[in-house]
Amino acid sequence: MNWKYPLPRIPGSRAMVLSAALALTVSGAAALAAEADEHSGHAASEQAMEHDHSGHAAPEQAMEHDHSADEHAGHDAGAADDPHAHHRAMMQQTGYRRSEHDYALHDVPLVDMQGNQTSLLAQLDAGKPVMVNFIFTTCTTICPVMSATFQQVQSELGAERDQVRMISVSIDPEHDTPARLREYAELFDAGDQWEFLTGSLANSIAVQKGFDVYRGNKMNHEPTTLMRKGQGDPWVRIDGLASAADIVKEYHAMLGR
Amino acid sequence: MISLRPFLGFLLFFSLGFLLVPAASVAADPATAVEARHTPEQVELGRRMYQEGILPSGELMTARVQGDIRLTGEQVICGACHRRSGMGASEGQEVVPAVTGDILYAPLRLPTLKPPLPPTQRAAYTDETLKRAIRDGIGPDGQAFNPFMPNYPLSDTELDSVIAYLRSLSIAPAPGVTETEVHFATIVADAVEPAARKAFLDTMQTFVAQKNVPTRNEDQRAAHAPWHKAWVFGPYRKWVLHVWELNGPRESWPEQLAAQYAEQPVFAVVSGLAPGGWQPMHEFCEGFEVPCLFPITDLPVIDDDDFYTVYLSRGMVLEGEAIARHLAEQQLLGQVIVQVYREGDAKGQTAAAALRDVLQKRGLQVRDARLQDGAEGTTAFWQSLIEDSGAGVVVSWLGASDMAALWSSGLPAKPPIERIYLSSTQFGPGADGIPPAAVDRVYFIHPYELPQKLNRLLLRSTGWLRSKRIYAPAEKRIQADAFFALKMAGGAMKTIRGYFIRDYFLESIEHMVDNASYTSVYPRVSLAPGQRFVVKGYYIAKDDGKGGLQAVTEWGSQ
Repeated sequence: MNWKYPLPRIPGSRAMVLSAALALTVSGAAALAAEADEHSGHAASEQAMEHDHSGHAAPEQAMEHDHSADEHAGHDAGAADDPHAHHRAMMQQTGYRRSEHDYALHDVPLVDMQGNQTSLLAQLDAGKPVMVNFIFTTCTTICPVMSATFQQVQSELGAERDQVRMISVSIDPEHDTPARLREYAELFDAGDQWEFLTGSLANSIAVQKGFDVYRGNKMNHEPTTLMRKGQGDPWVRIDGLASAADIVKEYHAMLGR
Repeated sequence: MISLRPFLGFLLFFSLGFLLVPAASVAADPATAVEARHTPEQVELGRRMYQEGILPSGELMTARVQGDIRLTGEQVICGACHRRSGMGASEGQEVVPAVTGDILYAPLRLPTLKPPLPPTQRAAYTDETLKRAIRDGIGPDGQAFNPFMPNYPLSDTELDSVIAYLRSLSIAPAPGVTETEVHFATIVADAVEPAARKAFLDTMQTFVAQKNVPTRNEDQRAAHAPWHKAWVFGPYRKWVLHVWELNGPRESWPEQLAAQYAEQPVFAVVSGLAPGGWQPMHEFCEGFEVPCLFPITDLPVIDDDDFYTVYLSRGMVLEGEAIARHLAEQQLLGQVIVQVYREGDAKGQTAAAALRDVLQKRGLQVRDARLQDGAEGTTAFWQSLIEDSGAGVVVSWLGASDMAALWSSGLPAKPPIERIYLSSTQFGPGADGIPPAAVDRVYFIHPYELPQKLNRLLLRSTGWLRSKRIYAPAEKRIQADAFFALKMAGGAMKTIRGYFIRDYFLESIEHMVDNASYTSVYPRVSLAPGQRFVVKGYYIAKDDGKGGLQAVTEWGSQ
């Protein structure tokens, strides 16, 4: 298994590594001079971090709004006082990150939960706003919460849910047969507007890569929700665990309401 | 002035970060004793909540995430994330900590949950802080939890039961592990052909013998580890492999297995070889809660609720279902479909039953033809079968010798026959003996890598087998499967380190398989929590005219 620590997919993580290294040495007074220098560099990289989405592939114009509670609080207060503050804030981060992207998506063949052949663009370009997430039915930690979030979103949308299309793409298509997906959909009371997609492994990976959520192995996947108002509009990407109310709020903001 | 210290800190940080296991790395102290104040009834109520998500009232547990996301039923089972063993897991960047009582009630120092963040120190839980953690998502030091941990609105009494269960979880030392040894078994039935038995046992025993060579003085290191390395060197154990021979009628096997186990309990069963279904061994492992890794069988027990046996493939059931699906895709379901198998051949019967089931669910009939025990597949047999039925599709679960008469009869090249399916497990993976006029109508169900690609795929094992002078090319699959099981067992032992907990051992296998660099005779293997078959795909293939097979379907696609 992948028991190594996954490195956080935070742009500018190199700067963070450095600061962590520093953190381990702050007890040594001898390092103080170097530290002051490094921290000025650190702060600069953190600024760049807001915009540098090199971790995300695909052509895109990233517009970042950081919605995490107080992720960078440590820096404002002056890192010298408490070099751990930033990291402590990271650990307790309960917010999510919103960004906008233009993904160049290819039309990938997929299979819906009735076992019918379909394709990515046929599913996405249905003349409606869409929300997309990625799950697999035997996933234990992230997916049940992601799916419960969609379940909650559909109930909060109420009658409005008929105007949106919700799509969950399986990242374990070898195991997730249409029948298994139907069972899973039932578990979460998925309405008619919510489709689950599977297909071949290669095609599932192609879709994940298209949205820059592919992490090499299903056990490495991360909680990401994507939404788009209509064909040609930018994708709103939500990284992290957002509450259903937040997703509905982002959805309404995207629609311009 | 440039200080070296940041650099050293960096090095220290990473060497620690990559060596340690995140979920369950360093328990500060050895297991603390379970307190006698918890009654067995309380522990059982706690088990139902933790493992099944059922409240003492019989209702389903509910919980909330991120304030407004309501979870219930299977989604809030504690053991789904923290796992059956309680040893935790990881998914993406989310690390699910271990929650066994002995770990929770001791202070913990983890290098970090999310590098490059600093180490995590966690005070020991008390009953009060643990209740607050489960209810409100606040750790013993007052810090908020990862938002994926739901908040559970449970009463004090209910939480007392959960705590009672956590305190009992994974603390009994697993049988089969001593201070210096870990015992494994493998299973061989007496009906296994001598050549296959030798190829199999050579692989198993040579691997274990080599594993036990203390090339780095592992046993000395374990015995005299410096305090800061004890957690790395201490868990070293010599492997002891027991070969459990099963003799005589199958009905006596459960008794034989229980007797072998009573004589020397083992931590796990690794691989195994026995004709017929794996049922007796499966039931033994389930009953004794012994992990059973990757037995070499085409007849596994397919049961979603069972935990302890992990198989390679669904075997003949997979083959039967694969053909049913291909028939539908090729729009051949309107044809008269006849399947042939030998009376008393469990593999053929199982595959035939699987095909029949799928077609019946679609309201379609398949005609079954059985070759009686002792009878041969003669020209007359095939003639009457095909002429009587008007078969457009023949699915054969027979071996090559039973098919010879069909090939020489000239029938396969003529109407009404349009399509013949063969199982490469039963018939062999190639078009040998099939007349050129018929070869275009013959399709193979082939749940392995294509024959012409196999040698390259297996280099990792065949190189080793050759160097040990135990390579048996005729028993390719047996040696490859056995090697895979051994590699996985080795990897899982490394992952669990000193935590010799059988459930944790299996859970680590669930996480390891997708990263396996060696995949036996299959192009791809994959597993996830709760899944019990690592081979998900198959090829429908045709003769490629060069002695190999050419796939006409994609591996593992829906």
